[in-house]
Amino acid sequence: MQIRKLKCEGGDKMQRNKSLSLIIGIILITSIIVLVAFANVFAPYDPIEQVPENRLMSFSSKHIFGTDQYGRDIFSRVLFGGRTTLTTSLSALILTVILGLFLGMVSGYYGGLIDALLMRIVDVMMAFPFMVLALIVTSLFGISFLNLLITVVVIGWVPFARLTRSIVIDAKENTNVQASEILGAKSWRIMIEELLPQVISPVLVMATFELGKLMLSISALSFFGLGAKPPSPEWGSMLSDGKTFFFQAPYIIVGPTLAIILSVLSLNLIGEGLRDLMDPYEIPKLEDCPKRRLLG
Amino acid sequence: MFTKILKKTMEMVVTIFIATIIIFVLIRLSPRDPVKIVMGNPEIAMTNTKEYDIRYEKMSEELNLDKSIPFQYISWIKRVLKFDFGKSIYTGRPVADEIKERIPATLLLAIPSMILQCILGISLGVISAVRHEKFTDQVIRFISVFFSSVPAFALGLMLLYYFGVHLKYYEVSNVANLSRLWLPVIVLGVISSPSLIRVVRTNMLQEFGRDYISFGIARGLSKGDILKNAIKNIALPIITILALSFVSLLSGAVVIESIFTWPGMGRYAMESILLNDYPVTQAYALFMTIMIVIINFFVDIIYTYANPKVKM
Amino acid sequence: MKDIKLRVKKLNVEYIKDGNSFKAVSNISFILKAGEVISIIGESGSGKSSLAKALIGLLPVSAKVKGEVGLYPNFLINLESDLKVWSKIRGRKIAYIFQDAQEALNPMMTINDHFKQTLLNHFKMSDTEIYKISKEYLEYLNFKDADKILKSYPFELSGGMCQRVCIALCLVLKPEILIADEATSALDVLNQMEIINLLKKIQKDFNLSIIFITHDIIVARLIADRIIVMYNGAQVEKGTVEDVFKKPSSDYTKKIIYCNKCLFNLKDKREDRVLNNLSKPLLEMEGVNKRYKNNGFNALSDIGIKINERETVGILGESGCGKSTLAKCIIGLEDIDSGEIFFDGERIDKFRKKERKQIYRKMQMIFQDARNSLNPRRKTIELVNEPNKYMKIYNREDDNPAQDILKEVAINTIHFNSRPPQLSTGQCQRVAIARALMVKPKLLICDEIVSALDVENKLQILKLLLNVRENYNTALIMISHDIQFLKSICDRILIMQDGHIVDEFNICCEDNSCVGKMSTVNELLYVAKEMESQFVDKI
Repeated sequence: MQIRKLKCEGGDKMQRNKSLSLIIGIILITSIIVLVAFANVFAPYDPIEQVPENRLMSFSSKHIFGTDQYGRDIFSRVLFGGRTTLTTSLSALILTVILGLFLGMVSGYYGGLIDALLMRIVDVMMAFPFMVLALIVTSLFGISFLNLLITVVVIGWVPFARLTRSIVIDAKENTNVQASEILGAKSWRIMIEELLPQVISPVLVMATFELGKLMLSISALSFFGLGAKPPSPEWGSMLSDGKTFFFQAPYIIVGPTLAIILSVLSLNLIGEGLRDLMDPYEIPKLEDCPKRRLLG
Repeated sequence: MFTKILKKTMEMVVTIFIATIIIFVLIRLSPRDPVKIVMGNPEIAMTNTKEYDIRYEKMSEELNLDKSIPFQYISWIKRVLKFDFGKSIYTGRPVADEIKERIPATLLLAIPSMILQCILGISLGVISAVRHEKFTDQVIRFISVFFSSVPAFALGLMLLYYFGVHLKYYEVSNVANLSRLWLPVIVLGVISSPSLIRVVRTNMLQEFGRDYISFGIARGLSKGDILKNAIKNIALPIITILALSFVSLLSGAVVIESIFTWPGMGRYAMESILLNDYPVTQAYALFMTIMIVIINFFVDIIYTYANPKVKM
Repeated sequence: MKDIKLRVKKLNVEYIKDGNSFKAVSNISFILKAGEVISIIGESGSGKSSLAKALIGLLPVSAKVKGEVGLYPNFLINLESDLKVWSKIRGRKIAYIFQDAQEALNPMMTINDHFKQTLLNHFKMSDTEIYKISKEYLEYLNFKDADKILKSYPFELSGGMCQRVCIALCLVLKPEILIADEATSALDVLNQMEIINLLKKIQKDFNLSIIFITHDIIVARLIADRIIVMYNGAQVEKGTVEDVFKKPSSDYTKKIIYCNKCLFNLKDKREDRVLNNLSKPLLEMEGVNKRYKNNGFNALSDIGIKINERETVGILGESGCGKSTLAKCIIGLEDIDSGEIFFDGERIDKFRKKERKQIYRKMQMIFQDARNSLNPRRKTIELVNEPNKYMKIYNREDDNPAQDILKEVAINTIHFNSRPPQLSTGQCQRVAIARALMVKPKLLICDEIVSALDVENKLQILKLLLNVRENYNTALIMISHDIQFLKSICDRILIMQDGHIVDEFNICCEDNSCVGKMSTVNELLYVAKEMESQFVDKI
């Protein structure tokens, strides 16, 4: 995400731009992880202890993100809450990735009935936005954080399965796979040794983006009260809390929102950076085409 | 070609059928007793135990809960085909009426947002691809990444506060009228643009690497004509993407409608869920399913029809 | 001096990526006169494509170009900065045609749309005028039904037709120079000759200068007035066609001429092969049909083949005729829709995965893309041993002939522990052959195995196969689009077109006359012979 202007000099400019996005993303997410993991070191106040005198204070040097309706320092709550948010999002994601990879690989490689069945399910589920499905499931099974995560895993594997399957279906026709087959290699061996390496990079890129989307969706649902419950300082539930007092003290949602934005932003930057590294586009120079042709 | 349309229609019907079964099963799997929910209505709960039991039995009978599952399913389907979605527990009114009242508001929000998303997505995506790796590209990509990192509700809330409370320029109320339309449309359009920008950019860059573009350059075509050439090739894939994104726009509408207290389908669904008004939730699920399947069906048809390779 | 059209002086092209730089073209200089054809010959990696693209400004952003290109009489293109000049040159002065002609056309536009766009970008014309001119040029390029062609989309036309359309699209702008980048390399011999003859006609009628880029020295011989040979980006030979072929000065040129000559002479040196015609053929196919899944077209239609033990059968066809699909169906990588396949007495087309493993012990296949068929993380010796590892061919360690086989295919002991990225393409293919020989197959299917190799490696593999089939008593199925290659090794050649086997003939060693049933096939053979005789006589 290079904003500096460099002189047009061969290919040097390109290389720098590509890695900048990745670097910024990694630095950002690492900082967040460090702050959150060592929350007990960085947080200036206790996240749970209520201090009624200080309720709903705005940003100040003592309370960077202000205080909530119980007088608790929001910054400290954000740091501690990050532990829950980040670990649960990440675990949910890892589960979905593994499930999606497995199903997509099997479906793509074997084809036939398994594939047809999977594709039907994928088509049906792909059509539903996460929000809608989550709403339906939570309304039926009750509102709890666990239910939310279950929904996430049950829905989340679909894009990974789809991606893996499409790559495998293409890669199946490649020479390396065909050669292995006629040499008598077993199916699982082919899947792991020949197909998996081709799938890993795109899946990794997708995983970073999906993790971001996941965090956004979870926070949205929590905001409406369909997620984690107070008093846990999880980012989503902090938002749900703050909702009631928003018009009184709008700064109350800034803390957790900023945390979410920065986390998702860093993940997106990493995803974009990885994708650029993987798929460099060699395109001809369009700038020396005339804008409009003068006739004659 | 006609056989293809027929085939797709059959597939559509089957998908809807499967979806209804899934919805029905999910509802029956729900650990909550629907009768208790209905009876949870304060008026009824006030009566003493004996009357409560009688009423409970009567309610169960009414809701067909003593009959077999397939029977329940069929009677539910029968009512649905007559557009009878039951009554809202909260208001007591027929759900079908309440949905009818709210669809126009949602469409009023969704369609302009879709248009805004298309304009932003396609134009910025193409510009970004043409100015690949230059300053404009970086800026567009950064803005795109930034807005895809912001939760919709947060952006909505902040802008609502700024324009509604701080500047007092925007009316904070319950009404769906044109003067209140601009802010939610901007929020929804801006939040849903990044994914379209990204897809358009990727597709354009892929097309630029193909030989017909190089041949066009070699023949001295102007930049405009070359772009037209490329766009002709990405048109079909983009239409598919647009259909999917319309669907997710509708879901995004849920959040935006709630924030801006816009009286549409989305907010209705959200409130009903929080109030445990399950007939409404059921109807919403069904409604969304059918909408989605129909949209995909039309996209499939357009895709097949517009592709010259298949016209033969 | 008057009729010089193009002067190239010390052209350099360097690719810069991730801090590394790769010099593709070093100090090329030449002069092109009006109405002259210069052929630039080089194998893949020699830099000839980069040179061609530099002359029309189609290099990617990562390429740094240095040198002078002078387009007489008006323009001096200083390639470092004069990018705006391109818009005046492209199309009107210099035209360019690509190797894959079908890809070079926009799949969503009709041919008429293409003409319209091309002409309207340079001239002001009405639709009727455009139509008239397009039709004129198409008919000039041997199209009989120009109206139909104008209404068609590129995917409806064959490769040869698409290339002629591309040439027409270039000619309408009346350029002075045409750059043909491997324009005939993807076509079969018949189409190649047609394009070559057309280009020669255009050269005369329009006084057009042509820069003809190719890796095929035979084609260059047919069309060029002057030749430049490139190797590793540098110019190793330059001169008239006569001089280069009769008195080549560089070792590299001498080598490729020699290899090509050997390929032609190879079949003359073959001994008569005595093949006992056993009553039961090794491989028999009857009534085999297969449809493509996505568009319902027939990949294979009513295929019937008989192959005897130790016989070498060639399958000749253009790309897209279905010969690769045929190979995959024989070995079982793909299923057939109807028909029967018998191998070594058993009916194999309905075999499941487990039973197919039995076939792999007797039948193997070599692929076109040698490098991709080898796992890059394994050592050569491990790769050759793969059949043994997966199918347990040899029970005892001592019996393992992997090392011997590698020596047979001329892989040096030092390479036994190398990995494919460290091997050349020719070596990779030989390792693949060695691996297939491990099972001592009764039938070896070779799918375009030399198409991606330069002529030296081609010759080497050919000689290798000739030895192998004697030592291992293997029957061979050779699939190729190159008739010269097939004539050197096959006993019998089958011709495939659009999924059908349309003709078949035997190679007779005595009088070198091969006769088939179809007139087009005989034409093909005649043309192939013409090219050969032109080449061999002049040396």
